[in-house]
Amino acid sequence: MQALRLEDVRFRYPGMSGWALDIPSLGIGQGEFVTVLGPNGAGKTTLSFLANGLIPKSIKGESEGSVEVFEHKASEYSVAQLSTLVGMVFQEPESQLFCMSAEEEVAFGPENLAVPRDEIARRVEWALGLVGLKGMNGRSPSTLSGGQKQRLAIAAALSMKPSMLVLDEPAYALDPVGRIELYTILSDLKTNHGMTVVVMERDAEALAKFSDRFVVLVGGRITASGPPAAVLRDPRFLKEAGVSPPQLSEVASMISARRKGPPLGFLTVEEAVAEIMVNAPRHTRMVSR
Amino acid sequence: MAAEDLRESGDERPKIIASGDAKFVSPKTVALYGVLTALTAAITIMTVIPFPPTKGYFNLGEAMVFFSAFTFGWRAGLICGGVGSAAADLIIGFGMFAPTTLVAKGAEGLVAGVLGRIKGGKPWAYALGIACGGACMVTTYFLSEWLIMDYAFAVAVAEIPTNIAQVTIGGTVGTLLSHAVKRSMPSLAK
Amino acid sequence: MTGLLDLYSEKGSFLHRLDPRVKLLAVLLLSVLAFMLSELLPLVLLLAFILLLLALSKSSFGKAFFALKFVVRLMVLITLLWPLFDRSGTPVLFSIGPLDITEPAIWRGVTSAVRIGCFATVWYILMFTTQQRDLVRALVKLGLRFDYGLALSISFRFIPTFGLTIESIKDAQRARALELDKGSFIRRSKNYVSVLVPAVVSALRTADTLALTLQSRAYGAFRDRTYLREIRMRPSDYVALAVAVLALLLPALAKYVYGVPL
Repeated sequence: MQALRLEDVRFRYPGMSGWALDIPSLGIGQGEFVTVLGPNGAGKTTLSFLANGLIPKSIKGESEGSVEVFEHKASEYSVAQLSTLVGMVFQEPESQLFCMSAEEEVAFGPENLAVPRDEIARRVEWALGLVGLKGMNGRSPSTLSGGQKQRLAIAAALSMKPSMLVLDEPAYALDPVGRIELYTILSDLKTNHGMTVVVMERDAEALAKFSDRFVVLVGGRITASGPPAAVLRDPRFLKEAGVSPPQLSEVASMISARRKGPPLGFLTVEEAVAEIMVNAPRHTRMVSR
Repeated sequence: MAAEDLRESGDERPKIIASGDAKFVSPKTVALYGVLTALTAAITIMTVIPFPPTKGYFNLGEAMVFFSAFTFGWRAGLICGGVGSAAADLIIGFGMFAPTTLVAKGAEGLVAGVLGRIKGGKPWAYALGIACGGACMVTTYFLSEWLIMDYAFAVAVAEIPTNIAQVTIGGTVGTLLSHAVKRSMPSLAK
Repeated sequence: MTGLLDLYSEKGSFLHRLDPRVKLLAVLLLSVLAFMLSELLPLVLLLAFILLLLALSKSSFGKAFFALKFVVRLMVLITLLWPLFDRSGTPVLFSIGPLDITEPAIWRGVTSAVRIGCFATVWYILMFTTQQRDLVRALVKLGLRFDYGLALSISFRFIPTFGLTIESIKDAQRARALELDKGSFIRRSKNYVSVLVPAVVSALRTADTLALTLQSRAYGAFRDRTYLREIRMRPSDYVALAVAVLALLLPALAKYVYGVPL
């Protein structure tokens, strides 16, 4: 089953000349971890808002095509209804946490959904535990670190028990350690809880090993889609898309360009060593030259 | 807590809840009013301008009351001006003024919002809004200090010039602010 | 600054445990009582009672000092100024130029000052012992609509955030040698506009994201939403409420029905 299915989707913001998003077809499978890469203004945010109905329900504009979320037509439901299927996490940590304690933040969604109190309490513990914030129930969100804030935002979405998480540049304000922590939690949600994860990011390098698929978005159109290794094999292409390619994959493509044989596509140091060792003599020669 | 699966069962299509029946204020309004109220309180607390002529102290909270009223209308002026200023009183420890402030600044915001937006906010409309709104504020404080809190009549009177000066500065800053913000966020200038 | 923005301190006094609704009501009842009393002695007793409660709230010395400094200054001001403008009564104690200072006027000044001391101090008991979120909860429980309560709690949440924003913009403008408190009235107003515009614009952007967040968290799905935490009246809360009500009711009866001079 498809978690998200877009057919002939187009969206234009009022007063803008071009389409912010123009996607003939895009499907994201249930349980898939998809990273959408693209520069600023590529349509990543627009795509994420389409996924839970914020576009066109709350943000008006010229809208065409059909969006299906777990085979439900998004247009037939309110954002509140869709929130039980799609959890949203936004870029800015500060403006998506509006409660006085972590616990209230996580409880807010289920409270609105009129979930019984005992069940809310269980979900709060469960969601805080999943994102590594166990025992921080009473902490004020503004006293948390950037990474903790974004994890709290994830917990606040999880407590509504969605089947898909959509995150719009969640690691934008985080340091490298915070990013990896965040991606690891998302990856864990996918592996252990069958969560479908869609991350809008520019950080191709770190996300490569967590993602099942990279989708590259440029100017509102999808220009590439496939396994991370395949998409990263052509760093020039990523550069056009304003995404900085991982250094290792740049190395791989430079080596590939200078030698015969199948192109290299390693993304981690271990893979690099393994792939290079297969034909070590050549590389030694090349390095010494 | 035991590991628990997110989905009720494996491959079944996740269910969607029935649509609700709530008749709440729109989320945009809740967010906007919450933020404007916080801004009013924060600016009241943070911006104290020493004003030599009367040796009084001013805050620019007034500016946010007029800003809210002129930019978003009388409802925003009433709620954000009144509640934000009263919250500031509570937070900095002048709780005894909070009820008076709620009424005084709320009325100021309401009147400024109604009068200041006549004919889409002509300069004379702003001036009228500031004058009449300010008059409400000054009168409310005076009456409350004189009759309820039982300050000496003369002490309550002595506050009046200070309050008038605060309205003048707040009104000027609030009007300029409303214009500048509308210029940098064209979507607001409706 | 953040310390100044929250008078509450995490202590375990019985006042902390009291239902916030009871505390709010008690503050209002005691204020009405102070308004009703017109004799000095009962007002002094009331002030002593309020100060006793303040001591029982176990607030830190720094906060209590901060609070009482304001109260004492106000009381001294009223005591000193009252007789200057109230020249009624005899005997005249002394004269400053054309002003006659009379004995009754001095007592009226002191009485008024003590009453204002009651008004001012009683709120600290509430603010020292009640978290802002419990204050909002209390108001919602007392009938404030959920959506208005949410806006209120959002505003409390963002006051320190915006305070820091304003502070950092002020610093940045000072670093650019913009002297905020110098120059003519118009100059100064314009300077302040240059501080406030970025703060307001960024706050309004926050409001946009916030609106999307609220919707994404199912805001407004059902009218009868549930609450994880409920505030509930316990026996001790009823006792405290009864004490507060009686504290107003008994003197009111004595004064208005039996004509006891209070």
